Amino acid sequence: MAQSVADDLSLPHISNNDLKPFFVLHKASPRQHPAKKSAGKARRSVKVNLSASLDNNHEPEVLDDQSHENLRTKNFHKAWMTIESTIKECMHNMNADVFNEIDSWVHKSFDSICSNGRPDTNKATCSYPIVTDVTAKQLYTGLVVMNNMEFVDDLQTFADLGVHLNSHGCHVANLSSVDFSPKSGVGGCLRSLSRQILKGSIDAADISILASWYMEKDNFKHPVVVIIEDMDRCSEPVLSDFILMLSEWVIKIPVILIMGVATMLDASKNILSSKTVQHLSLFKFFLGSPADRLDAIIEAVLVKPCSGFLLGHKVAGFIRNCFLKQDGTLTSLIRAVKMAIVQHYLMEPISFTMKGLLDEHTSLADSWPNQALELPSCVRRLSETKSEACLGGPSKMKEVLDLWSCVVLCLHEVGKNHKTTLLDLYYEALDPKLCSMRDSDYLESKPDHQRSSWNHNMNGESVKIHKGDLIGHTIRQIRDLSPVALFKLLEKWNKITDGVNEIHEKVKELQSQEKLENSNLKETAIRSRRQGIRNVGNFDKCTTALNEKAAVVMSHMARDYMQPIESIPFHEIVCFTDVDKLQAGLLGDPRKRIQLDLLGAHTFIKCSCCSTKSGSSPISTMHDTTLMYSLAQEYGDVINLHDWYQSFRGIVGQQTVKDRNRSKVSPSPKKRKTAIEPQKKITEASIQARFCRAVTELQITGLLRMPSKRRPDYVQRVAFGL
Amino acid sequence: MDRTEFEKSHFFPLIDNLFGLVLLCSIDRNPILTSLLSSALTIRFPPLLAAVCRRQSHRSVTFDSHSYIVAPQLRLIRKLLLNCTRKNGGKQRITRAQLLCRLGNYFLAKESGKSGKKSARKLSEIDLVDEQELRAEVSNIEPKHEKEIASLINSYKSQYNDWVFELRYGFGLLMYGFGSKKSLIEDFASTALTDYSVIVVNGYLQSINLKQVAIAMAEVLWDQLKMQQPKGLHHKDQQPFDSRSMDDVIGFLDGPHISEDECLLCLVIHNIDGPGLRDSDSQHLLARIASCSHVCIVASIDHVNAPLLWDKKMVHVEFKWCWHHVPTFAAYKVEGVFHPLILAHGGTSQTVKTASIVLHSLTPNAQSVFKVLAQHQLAHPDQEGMPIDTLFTSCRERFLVSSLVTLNSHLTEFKDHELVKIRRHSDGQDCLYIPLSKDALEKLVLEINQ
Repeated sequence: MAQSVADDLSLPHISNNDLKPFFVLHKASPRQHPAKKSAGKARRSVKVNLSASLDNNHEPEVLDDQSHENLRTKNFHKAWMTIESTIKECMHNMNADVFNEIDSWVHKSFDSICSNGRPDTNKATCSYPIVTDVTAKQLYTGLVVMNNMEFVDDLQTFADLGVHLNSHGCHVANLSSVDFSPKSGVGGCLRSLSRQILKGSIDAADISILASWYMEKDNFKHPVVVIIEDMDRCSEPVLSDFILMLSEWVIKIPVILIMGVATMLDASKNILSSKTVQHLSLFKFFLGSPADRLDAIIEAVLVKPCSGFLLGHKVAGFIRNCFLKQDGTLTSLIRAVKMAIVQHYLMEPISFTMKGLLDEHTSLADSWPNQALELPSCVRRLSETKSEACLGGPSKMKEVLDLWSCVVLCLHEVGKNHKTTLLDLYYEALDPKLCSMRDSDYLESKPDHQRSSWNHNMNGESVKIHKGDLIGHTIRQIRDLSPVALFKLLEKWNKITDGVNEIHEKVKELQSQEKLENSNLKETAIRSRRQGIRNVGNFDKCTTALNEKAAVVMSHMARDYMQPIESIPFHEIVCFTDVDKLQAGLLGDPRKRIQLDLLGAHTFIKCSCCSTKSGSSPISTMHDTTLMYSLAQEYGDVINLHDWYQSFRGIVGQQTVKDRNRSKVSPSPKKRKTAIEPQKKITEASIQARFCRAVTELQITGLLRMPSKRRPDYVQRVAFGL
Repeated sequence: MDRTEFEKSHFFPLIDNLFGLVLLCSIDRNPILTSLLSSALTIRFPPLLAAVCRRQSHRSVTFDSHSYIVAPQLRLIRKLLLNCTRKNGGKQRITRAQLLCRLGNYFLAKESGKSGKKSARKLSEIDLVDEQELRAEVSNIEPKHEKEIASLINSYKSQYNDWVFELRYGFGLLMYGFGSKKSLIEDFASTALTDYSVIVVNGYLQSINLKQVAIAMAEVLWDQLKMQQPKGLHHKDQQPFDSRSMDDVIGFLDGPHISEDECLLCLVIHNIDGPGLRDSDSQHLLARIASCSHVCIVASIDHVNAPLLWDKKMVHVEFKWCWHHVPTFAAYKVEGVFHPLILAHGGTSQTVKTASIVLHSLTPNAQSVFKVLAQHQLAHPDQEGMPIDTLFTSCRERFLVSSLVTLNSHLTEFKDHELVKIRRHSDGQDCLYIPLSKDALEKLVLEINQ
């Protein structure tokens, strides 16, 4: 009986739900249920509340404000959708060629399988297909080389490929390495295959069911395509078994295999046994390189303001660093952008108020909302020029942005030859310092060799692009272009700048000059060929003159039209700049933060007792666990429990001593005594209990390891340093 | 991309940032990465050694697939490896956590622990109180800073709307920071997520059946859909979810039931890094559930190394975490119940309550097997335990197990939760016994029977 009392005591404040593995907290409130329409309304109303809480510095909302907020939410939603669809479209365009290639190969292979003998019902009723010809057991296999270490980026590609082939009349099943685990065996992948092909009606691992399904209706008119997303990660024996089985049945079910390969082309030979490889007749396809994809997405989403949402310089820098140094996946980059747009909406009350940047046809009479005049960028500009006229509306901003992105893309065209990535260029072009640097010789189009020699002298090392000098460097590269490359470049510039009158004219001018000189050159070239190499110098001179002109035009463009978003007034409305917020949401750092929580608890708890006195040294009023953790800092990798307990006890006990002194000194000891009485009862047992709980809590955070049998008197510290 | 080019662009910047000890976490199970990484390292720093840690056994909970640890001190790492393998009975296996811990401790303890010699005082020198009394005291600990903590937790209420917004746009919320976040998250779910059905998983418990969770979710979703569009659903969906496969249930959660891609269910997981969910299978399953179109997820972590549970696919594509640092400094009341008290005698012994909770989460057959063992122990209090073959025979007679394999799987479960221990009988035979007193055992048997 005593036991039961103790047991009940040991679990107070714990409801029944807390000890169930899971429970339903509540079901959706009924107001969402009746009809679809109200569901939409309920959704919106939450968002309105939300923006109201954000806007708390403004007057309580009037009806006008509410419609304003609705508009804002709508615009955000539209921007979000635009970004999503832009990314999708981008990937689709990148993959379109390969997909078509694969598609035509699939149909060709299917025809050739069928030419060996079209499956018929008689054969299907045999328990096992009778194959006389060895070559008929060949399984057509397409290896899709991903050119990418990171498999995550290609998940969507294979899903898209499945959809693409499906729409072109194939029966498609997408399998992944999870299906090929040794645990579930060949039955697992077969089950998954038949689930997808038979649309989930049967849940059995039997290939004969699949074979008889294939004979039904019109099914046999189309090939069955099995896509294995990541061959490298599949379990080898399971994959081998699967392939052998399919090849035995290939007459009945003409399966065409498509496998994604992340590693080397001969991966199939490395992973699979030679016996299995015999049955594969391999074809290779190559997906676009990740670098190209990255450039395409950055161009479509970030450089061209497709969604009316932009990133600031620091945010771009953070995303770039994440990509280059930490994660390296396109998926993470896209996630970062999406996180940024959500945070922007949440943080900036007047974001997405204007349709201006989103709409193709902006009205001229547009203007920013009144609240926007209080934005720092606007206030700064107003104080400088003392007129509102220069500020312009959203359409003006769009113009400036278009010019900016146009120049960045032109620069990228130049940089492409030297493998300058758009990400780097984009990052640098966003630098608000560019504006102030314009007056200096930053973008000066001096010949490159002068600069590089200067660099050489300064650093004592070979040519190295200085941080923040990528644009200048790229412009200088124009000089070194061959006439053919220059010609191509001008063509591309022409295409990019189409529609942007200011720049387009200059490019046109350059092109006409180029044509003129080209015709001259051709003559001289023919002549020089006749006369040997005498005129080569002359030839060089002509082209360098043109290169020079192009470089000058480019540097003028960069100087005049490349206005970074953060130096434009009202940029706060469309541009997200809070890099800390993004970082906190994207990369939590529990290891560091939890330790900091424990060591600096008073900054969170904000009590009067612990924070003011004695800085970081442990005192008795501190939260027990934080007190214990700061005591633990004094130990090495193992902590002697006895010592730890004693020092904890010492500090916890301090208070009682002090209080006793105080109560002695105080004029009305009786009053004091009654007030302090309950606190003073710090018994040995309660200290031990507090010690135990603090240790348990540290164990939950993973900062401590419990004593082992070999060392029963020590706990082990797990984390050192932040 | 050309291989050397790749090395240059991806690894060299990485390596350049290294100082001394390097740990590259959660590189996926990609064979080329192994070769690339090691070659990149050997080009750049010839004396570096890349040690590849193999997958660990199912019990050592941590982390996915292969991992790589690189340390400049060849001799040191060899020593550490040898130490570990010797401990593991000569098997060439070492977990990454072990190695990381050893390396980390070696370097950092060397710096921080210089002061003073290692103390050799014994725990027994403290005048320890009786375990029952200690437990009673633990439950009566007077909370400190109650007001401040309450206002700290209250201060997060202003963020609720932001959190809902993030959930709506496809992110999962991951709460971390010191202190129990249970009440905070439940408060958030019950005040701000009224449009959703909310299912709570208590990850801090010892074992959780995720299939049951998925089935419960599917049933709730089914009810909700039925109310919204009573005629639109097909009859075949009415097959009870219990009898369906996991794939089917997940397929249902992911299915295109309504035209709008709207979230209807919210899965709240306290301690997604808890002991019952720490294995990679559970995490993969959770990730699949989280990526379903009708499900959004709110979870909390407490362990500092929790992010190592997930690979890139899970983080970026499935969970899509949005991190929130919300330290509460609230006591880990429920979360700590299952941890033994460090000052309790025989610190690992279980109380009846915790044992019965574990037993209730097991299958009826497993419970019955335990009961057979318990009854034997009660009937023969003087014996050292029950031999395995005796247990097997009596269990088979009652149709509880069909083979030794099934029995062993039950026993492994018991041993994992320290419900059963093994000791050597005097005649050399291994015996099973339950580490509880007679009274406690009687009470436990009563509780299972309820």
